[in-house]
Formats: sequence, C-alpha cells, structure tokens
Amino acid sequence: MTIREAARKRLMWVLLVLTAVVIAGTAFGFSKLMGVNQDDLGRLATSAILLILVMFAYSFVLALSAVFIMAPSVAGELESGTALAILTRPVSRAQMLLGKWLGLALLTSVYVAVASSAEFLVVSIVTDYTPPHPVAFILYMVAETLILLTLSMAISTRLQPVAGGVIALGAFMIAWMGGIAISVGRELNVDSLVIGGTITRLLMPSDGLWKGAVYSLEPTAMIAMAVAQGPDGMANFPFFALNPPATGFLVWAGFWIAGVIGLSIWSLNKREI
Amino acid sequence: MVDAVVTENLTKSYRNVTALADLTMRVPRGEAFGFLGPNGAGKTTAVKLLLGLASPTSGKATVLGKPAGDRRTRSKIGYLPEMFRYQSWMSAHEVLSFHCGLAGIAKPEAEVERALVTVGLAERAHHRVGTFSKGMQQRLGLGVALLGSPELVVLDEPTSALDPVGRLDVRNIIRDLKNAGTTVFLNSHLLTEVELVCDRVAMIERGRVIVSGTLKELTGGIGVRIRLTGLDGRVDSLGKWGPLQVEEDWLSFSDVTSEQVPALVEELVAMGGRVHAVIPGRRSLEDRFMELLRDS
Repeated sequence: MTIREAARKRLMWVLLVLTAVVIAGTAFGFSKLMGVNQDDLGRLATSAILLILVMFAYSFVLALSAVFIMAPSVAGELESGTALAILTRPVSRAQMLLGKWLGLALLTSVYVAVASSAEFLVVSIVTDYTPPHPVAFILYMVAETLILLTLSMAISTRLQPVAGGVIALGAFMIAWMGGIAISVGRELNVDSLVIGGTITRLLMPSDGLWKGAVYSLEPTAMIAMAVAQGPDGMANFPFFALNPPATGFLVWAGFWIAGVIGLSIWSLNKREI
Repeated sequence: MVDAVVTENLTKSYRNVTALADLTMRVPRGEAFGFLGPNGAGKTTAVKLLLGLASPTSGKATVLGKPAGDRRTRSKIGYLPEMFRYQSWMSAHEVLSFHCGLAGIAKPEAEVERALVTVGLAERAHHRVGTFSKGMQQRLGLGVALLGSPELVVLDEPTSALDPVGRLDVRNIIRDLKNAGTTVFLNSHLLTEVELVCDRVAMIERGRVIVSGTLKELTGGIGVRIRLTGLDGRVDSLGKWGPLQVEEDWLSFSDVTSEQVPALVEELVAMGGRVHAVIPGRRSLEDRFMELLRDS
C-alpha cells in the first residue's frame, strides 16, 4: 500500500522525471569537461571526482526524500485521524510500522538502483569511465537511505511531521560534519576531533556508509596514488575514502537500524492515540 | 452470554486533568446504548479506552468478554471515529477492501459491495475519497465500521456531518443492527438522535456519569394532562395530587406518576367530571439532561 500511495501521489513520477533531467544535465557537463586537454590519469581522476560529487548531491536528495516521505506517513496519519480506524483492526502497531518501513525501503532501494545505474551508464558512454564497484555503491547508498528512513520513522511516532523531518535532516547534516571532523582531525593531528567525529559516526551511521559509497566509486589508481602521497595527499579529503568501512562498522549499522526500528515500535505502542 | 461492554471504576487522567472518573457500566448484548454528554465530557476518552487506543489510569474494562484492546476481539468490533479520515488518494472501494484485508474478511468483494449499498455510496465506489464531501466521508466511515458483520459497533458522533436524510439513514442502520443482534455503542451529543434509537443511555459530564438507565426510566412516567368538563371550576380538593395547572378544559398534574393516573381519573369521575382525554406527561431526553446538568 505504501508503494501504491507513492505512485498515486505522483511522487515517484516527479522524482523519476527530475532524476532524468539531472542525468541528462550531468551527461552534458561531463561531455564538456572531457573536451579539456588532459592525460589519461587526469581524465580518470576528473571523471571519478566529478562522479563522486554528483552522487553526493544524489545522496542529499535521497536523504531529503526519505525524511519527507516517511515523516508524514506515520505522524501525519496519527494527527489526521487516519490511523484511528486502522489501529482498531486486529493488526499490531508493529505491523503497521514495519509495513510502512518495508514499503518505503523497497521503493528507495529500487530508485537508488535504477538512478545510479542510469548515471553510471551515461557517464560510461560520455567519459569511458565506469566506477570499480557499482553494486557496492548501490548497497551503501541504500543502507545510508535506510538510516534516514528509520530515524524519521522513529521520530514521527512522537513528533509532528515537519518537526520530525527537520530533526532527522539535522542529524544527517551533523553526521556529515562528524565525517568532516574526522578528516580534519587526522589532517591536523587533533585527536579530539577524530574521537568526536567517530562518536558522531556511531550515533548516526549515515556518513560512515556514505564513505563506503565514495570508496566504491574510486578507481584503483587513485587509491594507490593517495596511499603513495601519504598524509600530505588527498587521504583526508572529505570527498575521498582511503579504505572501505570496517566490517564491524557495517554490522553496527545493521544493529542500529534494527535497534531504532525496535525503538519506534516501543514508542508507538506506548503512545496514546 | 457475557455483556458486550463492562467497565469497573474506569478512570483516565492526563497530568492534572481527569478526563474520565470511575466509569462503571454494563452494556448488554444486542442493545443500542447511548453515551451522552456535552463537548469535552469524556465520551471519546471512554471509547478510546474501550478500543485500546489509550490505557486507563485505573480501573478495568472488558469488551466482548476480553480485556479492552485485546487484538483478537478487534476483529469483532466495528468503529467509526469522531475524526473520520481515510486515505484521500484511494477510492471508496479501495478503502473498504483495505479494511477487509486488515480484518481478515474471507470474501471481501461481497462485503465491500454490501457496505457500499448500505451507506449509499455504491455510485461513488470508484471515486477518490479526496473528492468526497464531509458527509460522504462519514458514510464511508460507517461502511468501514460495518464490514464483517461485527458483534459490537462503536459509533462516535456518527451523524455530525450528515444532513437530515443521512441522519435518517443512520438511524435505520442502527435499528437494523439491533434487529440482527448487534450491540451498538453510540457516542453523541445530539440527544434527539439518541432518543430515537437507543434502549439505554448513560449521561456523562466532566468525566463522571451523572445518570444511567433506560429511556423510559429517564424520561417517562411523570405528569399527566386531562381534558375534563363538568367540574365547573371545582378543583380545590385536587391539591392532594400535587401542583395543578388549569387551562380552559385542560388540567395538568405535573407530579402524578403513571401508576396514580387510574385513581385520579376515578376521583374526577366521582366528582362529576366527564373525562375526554388522558395524555401521560413525558420529558424529552434533552429536558432531562438539562435538568441533571443544573442539579449537578
């Protein structure tokens, strides 16, 4: 039903049209940049970095979409009274929440897969560059979006739609700034920044997953160059990742999602309607 | 068979406000029970406690023999909320089908058609709810409440958005439900509507029940008007029957009970009077309610 709702409200179609426009625009941009005189390595690095920046914009749009679709889905229904008739049926509040989460998770996963694949295909045609791990990129982006989706759902069990959306987006931005703090802290050898950024990353794993997405887009030659340059190179550049996220972090992100879903269910069960 | 609804000292407080205090009542099966009160009296709070949408501060409630809010019981309850809102992007047919799915109804198509016809929305079945008027949405809500032939139907202000024709339709639906043995729990501040369909009522004010009983107990049996000729003004000896008002040929005794009427008529005839008409006095539910509010 969640998927049907998104389709009926034309949200999906608007997003698809905008995505097509963006892909066409980036294709045009890439084609102009490829006209600049560069050697092969330069062209490779340019393509990779531009693709990372384009995908960063995508990740922000995805975050916005996830937050502002999920927040009214729960909070809006509770506020308007639409949930009243549903919650007196023989379905648990957990089933209601999980149904919404699964529907939106599926929708965003399909969107990420389709939009990313289309962008990679267009970039490949224009620049002859294909990122080394496109499937891993899609998985990381889906996971990052699920973090936002899950957090929005938890907040919307208690707060009004707009307030919940703003808080979730704020958390996303703080997580991103935490990632910046880690990079700056490593660059300037300030341990407190690294520690603070790490704690932020654990509390809100979205940026850590974004770093995994970035790593998936980096050509091997670029990573090798960064390793060779050492700390004075691009290793601590905010839009670069020298290593993929640790397995422990990925496991933590999975537990985080499960835990926040559990918290959402507990919150809604306790809420007086 | 256990009563449809039983509450025992059911209380709900929000911080310093007592929304419902010591509600104790029984609603037998197959009755239409009216739960009356002014706005903010605690009616909707009571309904939410019975349906498990909120938890009581103290006391207990059982619905159809199980604790209020029990998930298995919910499949036997139909509910029309006071705030009736349904997915505006769905058609009426889709909303009803969706609720059939939630309720686990075996043959949803037949049930949806039946509900649409019952509430008068058959011609708008495939129109989006977003295009419906408020009254039509309330009819849809009533249809949702009737799905699956529930044993208990809870209607919270079911005619608030309906025109007089709609209100008549709802009264007929309630009567049909009663005839089929369904218990109807009707929340309303429209006393005239309740008077027309309910068997028993409880009146609530500021979270407390101020009176409960059958309609006859609450409104009937007091006073009588008699059209009488032949006494030629000789009414002084009638003072023992309580306050008396004389208007031409009509004598109005405001405190005479229905049991006393035969004796009164006998005395009037013995005095030489000729009785042309005897009309038992009756207060409307509204009059009774206003009287109780003043006393409380």
